[in-house]
Amino acid sequence: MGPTEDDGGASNYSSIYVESFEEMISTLERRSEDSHDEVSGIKSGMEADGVDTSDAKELLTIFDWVEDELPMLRRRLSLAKVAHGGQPDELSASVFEPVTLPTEDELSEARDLADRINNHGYTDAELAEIIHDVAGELDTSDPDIMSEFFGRLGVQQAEQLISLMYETGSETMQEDIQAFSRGLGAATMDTDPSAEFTEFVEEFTTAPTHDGNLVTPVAWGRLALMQSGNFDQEFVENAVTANGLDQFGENNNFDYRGGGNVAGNAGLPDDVIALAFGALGNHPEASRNVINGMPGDMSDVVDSVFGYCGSVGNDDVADAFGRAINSGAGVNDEYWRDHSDEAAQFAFSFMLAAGEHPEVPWGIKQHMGELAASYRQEILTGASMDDAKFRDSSMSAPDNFDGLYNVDPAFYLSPEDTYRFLHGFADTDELMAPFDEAMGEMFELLPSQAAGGDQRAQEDGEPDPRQFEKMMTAFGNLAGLQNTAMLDVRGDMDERDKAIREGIAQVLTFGLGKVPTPQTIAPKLGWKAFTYVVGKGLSSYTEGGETRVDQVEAEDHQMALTMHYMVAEALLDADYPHTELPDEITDENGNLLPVEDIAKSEEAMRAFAEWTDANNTGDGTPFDDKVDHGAGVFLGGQDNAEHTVESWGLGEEWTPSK
Amino acid sequence: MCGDDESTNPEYERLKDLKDRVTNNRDSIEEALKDAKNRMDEGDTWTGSAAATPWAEEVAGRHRRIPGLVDGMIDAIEARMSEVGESGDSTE
Repeated sequence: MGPTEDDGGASNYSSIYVESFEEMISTLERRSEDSHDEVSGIKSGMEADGVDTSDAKELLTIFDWVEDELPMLRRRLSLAKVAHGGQPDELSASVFEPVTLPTEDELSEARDLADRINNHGYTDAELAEIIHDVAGELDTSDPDIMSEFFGRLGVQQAEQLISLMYETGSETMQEDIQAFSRGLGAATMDTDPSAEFTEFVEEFTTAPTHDGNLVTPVAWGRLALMQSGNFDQEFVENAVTANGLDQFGENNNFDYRGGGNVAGNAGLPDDVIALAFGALGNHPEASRNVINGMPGDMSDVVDSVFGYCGSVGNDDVADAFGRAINSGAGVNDEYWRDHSDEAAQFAFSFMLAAGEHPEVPWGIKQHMGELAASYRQEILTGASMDDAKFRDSSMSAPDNFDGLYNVDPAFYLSPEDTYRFLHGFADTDELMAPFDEAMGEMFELLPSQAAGGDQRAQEDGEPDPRQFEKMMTAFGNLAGLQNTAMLDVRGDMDERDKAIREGIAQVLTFGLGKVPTPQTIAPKLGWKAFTYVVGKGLSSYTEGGETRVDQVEAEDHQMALTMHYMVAEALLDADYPHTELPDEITDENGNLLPVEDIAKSEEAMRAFAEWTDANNTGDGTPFDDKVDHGAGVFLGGQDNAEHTVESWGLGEEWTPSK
Repeated sequence: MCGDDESTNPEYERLKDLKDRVTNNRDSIEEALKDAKNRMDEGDTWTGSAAATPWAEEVAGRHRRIPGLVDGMIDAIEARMSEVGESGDSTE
């Protein structure tokens, strides 16, 4: 069974929190052994001097009891590690009870499975069948059985296994590789392995070299068995380091391809470095430790990887490196509001390092987009130019930087570094989709929350803190930077503009609920539309009905209306004081009509504009001012961003041509 | 001080050292199972009625017995110290 959040209330299984359980066992073992030795020594002294030792003996039985318990505790830990499968630490793993130690028969069967491969003696079709049968019989949930199997199989056979599948014409190669990989992962979770498997681990994590150079086919054969399943962290670190990354760190001017024809049939990259990073892709801590441990700093590592990607001319390494980076940065297993310090530091270093490159390998771009989505608070904060505009990037808040309402970034990028990172994946809407969606979600949420904060402050008699305006400005800054990056990378944006117009037009025509697109269209399209409006500096919509020169202009007007609507809606959601909504823009319950209904009627569009303009009541900052400011960031947002980017003097590689 | 070296009973001294050894190590001995007991009590290490709950009771029960057994060892040593006496004269 996999991880669970409950407490294991059912009677037939245990819920084990792997990290704490492992610490408990090691502490218990160490302290109990020390105490046993100490009490034993005292007892000998007592006996020598004729002291009654009955209590000392009884005390020793307690420590003996602990010793007797340890194998079963370790067995549970091993099973729990496999069941936990690299999930976040806060989730427990379920282990069925009663747990038993594997019987000698079971261990013998595991050895027999390995012998069927080891002893066949011919590289023929029958061996392919044997390997396939064995793969199907592996109990990949049992670390003790798996370590027995691989201990018997031996490293040389293991590292040749995939080549054997290829040479024997296996038709089930890919699924078999996954089974052996999961099995090997489980074996490495055995906390009390046999001497044979201990030796296996030692050999597997020793660099295969000839004349000081990595023997890439051997390293490939090993690392190819580590692309599925979850592995013991130390094993992963040692294996990827020994079988590739150690030498790569010293010398990236070497051909690390090692899979040859086998790789294609195996459905795996033929590059050892791609496999090494690939093995880190679902091991966050190992990824951080290994990449941070490579020679130089993150900037050097990124230089080295990007340089190598260019020389081998395929995207596998960049793709795998991106997965390793995102793993270490907590993209897969941490909530975006609550990144760990280690993951955030790792992400920060990578963002700065990647931002040194005006061209990044294509294979890493999608991962950069996902990283930006996961660090959406940090990107929004980084784009903010309201105060401390000339700050340097840092892990702590810069001086004179107030931050944004209900945004809690783990680090602070400068606007320039934010731009540089966005530039890396601005090539297509597909690459930007995860980021657009993340920003859309925040755009739906944060302005309204900030407006609510402003309102409460004013109700308490304080001056308007204008968090709403700061928030809208930050979103406007970000949209401008994003748009400028897209302009530079893509050259022209006609296709994108058309797609967004059509998307919005579709929403406005049919209503959000009726558009046959995924549920996520609202945030994604909302943010794309916002960047579009900022890019175009669209501000008016009331004339649309009267002066429609062509369809494009009409759609732009509708777009501007949509943006104004979103701003007003954010304020209404926050119950910001406002005048009564006129009948033309309300439904039967007095609520603001959906934007698609307003867009259909010239009268409603005009009423909406007049209503927002007329909203000047109240003691605090009027609703109208808030809307005007919110909408104001559409105006000149692009010019502002382009001028700012130009002022950094980054050169042609980074700046849109005039 | 209670007399010169010549009157000190060596067995008594050994027992005294033994008692000191027990006393000095008492904290670490008593804490041998404490971490496990605490983690099991806190419920975020290993839970489930089939195995975890009985094991938590076993470890807690043994943890509670340790101080009494250490006291018993000290009592036994002190009893023997009384028997052998502090000075050489009272030996045997």
